[in-house]
Amino acid sequence: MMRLSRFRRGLTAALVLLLTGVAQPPALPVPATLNPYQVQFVDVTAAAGIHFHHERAASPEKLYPETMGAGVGWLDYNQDGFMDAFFVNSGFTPAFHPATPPQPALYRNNGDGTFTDVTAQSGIHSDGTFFMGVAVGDFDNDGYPDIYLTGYRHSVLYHNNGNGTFTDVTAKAGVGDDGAWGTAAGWFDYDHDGKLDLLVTNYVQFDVDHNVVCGDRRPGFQAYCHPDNFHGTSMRLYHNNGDGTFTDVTRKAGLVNPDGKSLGVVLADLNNDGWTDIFIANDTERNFLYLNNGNGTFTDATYTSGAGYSEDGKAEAGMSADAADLTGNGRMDLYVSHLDFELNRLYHNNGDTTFTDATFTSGLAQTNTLHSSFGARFFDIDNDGWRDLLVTNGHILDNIPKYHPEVTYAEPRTLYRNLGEGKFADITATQDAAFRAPRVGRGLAVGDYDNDGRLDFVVNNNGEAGQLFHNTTTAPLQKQNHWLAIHLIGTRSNRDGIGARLKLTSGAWNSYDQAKGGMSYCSAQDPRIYFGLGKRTTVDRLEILWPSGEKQVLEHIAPDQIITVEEGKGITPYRYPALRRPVP
Amino acid sequence: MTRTMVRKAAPLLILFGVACWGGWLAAPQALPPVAFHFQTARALLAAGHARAALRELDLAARAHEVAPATALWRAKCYAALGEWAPVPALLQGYLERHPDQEEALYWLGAAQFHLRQFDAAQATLQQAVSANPRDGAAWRVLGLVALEHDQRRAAYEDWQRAVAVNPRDAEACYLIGRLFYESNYFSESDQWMSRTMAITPHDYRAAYYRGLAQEALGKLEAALTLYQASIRESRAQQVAYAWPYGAAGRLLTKLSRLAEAQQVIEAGLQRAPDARVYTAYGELLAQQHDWSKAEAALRHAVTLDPALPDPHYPLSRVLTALGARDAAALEMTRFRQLQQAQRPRQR
Repeated sequence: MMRLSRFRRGLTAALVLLLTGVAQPPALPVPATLNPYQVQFVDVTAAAGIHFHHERAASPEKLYPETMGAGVGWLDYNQDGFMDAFFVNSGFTPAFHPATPPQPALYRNNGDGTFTDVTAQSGIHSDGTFFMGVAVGDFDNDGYPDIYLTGYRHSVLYHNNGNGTFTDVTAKAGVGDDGAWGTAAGWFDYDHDGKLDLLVTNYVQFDVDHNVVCGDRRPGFQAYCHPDNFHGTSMRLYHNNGDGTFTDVTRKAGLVNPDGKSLGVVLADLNNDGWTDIFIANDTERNFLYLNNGNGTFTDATYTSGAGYSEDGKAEAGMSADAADLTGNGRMDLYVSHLDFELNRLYHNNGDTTFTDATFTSGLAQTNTLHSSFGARFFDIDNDGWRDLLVTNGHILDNIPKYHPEVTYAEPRTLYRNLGEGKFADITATQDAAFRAPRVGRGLAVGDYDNDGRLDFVVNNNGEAGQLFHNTTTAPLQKQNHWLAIHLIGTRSNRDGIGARLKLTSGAWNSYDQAKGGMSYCSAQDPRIYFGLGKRTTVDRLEILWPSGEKQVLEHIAPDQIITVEEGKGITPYRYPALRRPVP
Repeated sequence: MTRTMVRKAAPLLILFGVACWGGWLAAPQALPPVAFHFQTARALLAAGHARAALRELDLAARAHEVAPATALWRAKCYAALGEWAPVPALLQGYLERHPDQEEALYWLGAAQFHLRQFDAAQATLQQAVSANPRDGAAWRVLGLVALEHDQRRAAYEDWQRAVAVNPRDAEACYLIGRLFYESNYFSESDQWMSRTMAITPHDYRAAYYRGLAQEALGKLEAALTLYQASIRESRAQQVAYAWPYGAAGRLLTKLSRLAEAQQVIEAGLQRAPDARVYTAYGELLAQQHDWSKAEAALRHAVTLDPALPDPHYPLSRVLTALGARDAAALEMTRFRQLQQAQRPRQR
C-alpha cells in the first residue's frame, strides 16, 4: 500500500504533543501609502443574490478530488454586455452519492448589481461528473462563448446556443479527455487558422475506486495523498476542425509528457514571436514551458528557460499560473502559486526565452509562506498603470493543524500592490474583515461585472460558499485613476482574439498586454483587456497585433470606457452598458 | 611532545593518582597503584590527547601493568581519533569477558555505525540501551543508525529518549532540529535549534540550521543574522565551517544585495572554500552576468563535491546564457539525477 512518507507519520504524535500553541504573528501595520487609492474589495455576494455553495463531497476515505476543486469563471453568455458568473461544482464519488448530484451554477448578471441563478434553464446539468475547472471560448466563432468543464475521468463541452441555453456537444466534438483527471484548460489558436483550439491539462493518475490510504493511521490523521504517490498524466491538445469536431493532436504537436501533474496553465506569447506558447504549473514536478514553433509543433524549453524550477532548482507544488507584463517592458513575466513552506514564484522574462526567478527581489518572498496558494491573478486593482496581484489561499489537508499546528485549512487571501517596476508590497491588511476571512480558496476569476473600469473578482472556495468581491474606492473622484478596456472581436483571427498582443501608448508611456488563455486555477477570466492609465487622460495610440498577423492601430481614444475593436474595422459603435443602479 | 601533553594533563594526573591511592576508582576492579602508564593514558584521553594516550597504553602493556580494561580504553582512544577500524576487534574480545558492559557496548555500536555496519550497530546499541536505558549517548547513536535505515520515526523517537534522559543533551536537540528541517518542518526545526542554542549558545551548526529554518519561514533578516552568528562562532572556534557562508551569500544574492553577498562569499572562499561557497560564488557572478567566471566557479564547486546537486542547476543556467545549450542540458540532467536522492517532499 502506498502511503505518505514514514517520517511524517512518525512525527505526527510528537508534533501535536510538543508544538502546539504556535501563535500566528500579529498583522503588521500597513502604511496608508501602500494603498493610496484606497481600494477596498467588498464582499457583495449576498447582496448580489449569489448563493452558490461548493460541495466538496467530503468522505472519511479522503478521496483526492474532494479537496482539489474547484474553478470559477466569467463569461457574457447572453451577450448583454454584462459578465455572468459560472461556478464549478464537484460530483459523485464511490463515497459520496446523494440522490441529486452537485450542480455547477450559471448566474446571469441582471445589470443592476444582482445575479439570477439560471442554471436550470440553461441546460447545463451535471450527471454526477466530478468537475474541477472551467474554460470559456467561442470555439465556433458564432459570437456566443462556449463552456468547457474539466472533470475527473470526463470533461464536458457545452455549446452556447445563443438563446440562453447550452447543449452538451462533448461526444461529437471528441474532447471528453476521458479517463484523465482534467484540471486547468485553456482556449487558444495555436496554429493561427482562425479557430480556437483547446488545451486540457491533467493531474495525477488517482483511481477513485482503489483509494490509497495516506497519512497517519491514528483516528483523525488520515490525509489526502501527496502527488508523489501517483504517476502523472500528459496534457491533451485538441485541434479545432471547424466543423464542431476536434482532433487530438497532442503527439503530433510534440506535447506528450506523462510527467504532467498539472493544475494551472497560461497560454500567452512568452517570446513575442507572434505565436502563443504554453506554460503549465505542475504539482511537485517541474513546470512546463512549451514554445510554439509556428508550424503546429511545440518545443519543450523548460530546462533552459529557468522557469521550470525555483532558483534553487526545486520542483515545487505548482497550483496555478499567470502571465503579465509587470515592469512595462512588453514581455510577459510568469507567476506560479505553491503550497505552504514554498514560495509563490515570480519569473522575470529576460526576453531571450529565459527567465530569472524574481521572487525575492520583487518582495513576494517575504509573506504568504504559511499559506497554500491556488488561484492567482495579476490585474491593476487601482488603475495606476501597474498590475497588482491577488492570491487565494487554502490548504490541501483539511486536518493540516494536526500535522502543522501553525497552518490552517482555511486561509486568508493575499493582496499585493505593484509599487512600480515589479516591486510588490503585501497590502492585505488594508482590506476589510470579509476579505481577510479565512477560506479554503481555490478558483479565482477577475472581471469587471459592473463595467465601471475597476476590476472585481469572484472566488470558488472548496466546501464553502462562493464569493463575489466588488472593487470600490473611497478616494475622491479627482484622485482616481483613468482606464481603458478593450473587447476584441476577431474576424480573420479567432473571434475572441485570443493570442492578440496589445500595446497602449500615452505620451512617452507604454503598457502591454495580451489576450491570453487559461490563467489562475482552473478558472476563466473576463476576456476583455483592461489597462490602468494612472493620471493619463488620453490614449494616444493602441496597437493590436492580431493572431492573423494583422496589425491594427487606433489613435486618440478617450479613457474610462470599454471599447469594442473588430479586427480590420476598428472601434465598433457597441457601448457596454453601465449598471442600472449602483452596486450595493 | 608527550611530555608537554603530560604537563598539560598534570592536574588530571594528580587527581587520578590521588584517586587511585585512595582506592576511589575501584570499578570495575580495584587498580593497584603501580599502573602508572595506564592512569596516565586515561588522563591524557580525558584531556583530549588520544594519540598520546594510546602510546601510554602501549607502555602500560610493555610494563605488564595490571589494567583490566585496557581494550576498552584503547578503543576509546581510537574512537576519539576517529579511527574506527580497530575498535570492533578490541571490544568484541572485551565483551566476551564482560557481555553486559554498557560502555563497551556503546563504543562497539558507535564503531559499527561509523564503519557503516548499520545492522550490527543497531543490534549492539539495542543491547546497550537494554543494559542501561539511561544511556543517552547510545540512544543518540541508535537514532543515527535508524536514520541510515530511513527509519525517521525511529530516529526521532530515539533522540527523544536521549533528550528525556538528559534534557540538556544539545546534540540530540540538534539532531531532532535537523531532522525536522530536512523533512520540511521548519517551525519545529526552528524551535529545536533554538533549544540547542539555549543549551550550547556557541553551537554554530545550530545557528546555521536555525537560519535555514527562518529563511524557509520567510524571515529573511533573522536568517541572515543567524548565518552571521554561525560564521562568527565557527571563526571563534577556528572551525572551517563553510555552510553559513554559502547560505548567507545565496540569500543576499537572491535579495540583490550583491555587495554584501560578495563580502560574505569572499570571506567564505578564504576561510572555508567548499563546494557550497563556490556555488554561492557562481550564483553571485551569474547575477552580475559575469558568465565565464560564474561557469568556472560552478565547475570548481562540482569538482569539490561531485555528489552535491546544488551547483549543477545554476551551471545549467549559466551555460544557457553562454549559448552552450547541449552542455546546459547535460548539467540539468545531472542535477536531476543527484536531486533524486534528496529529502522527501512533505505536504
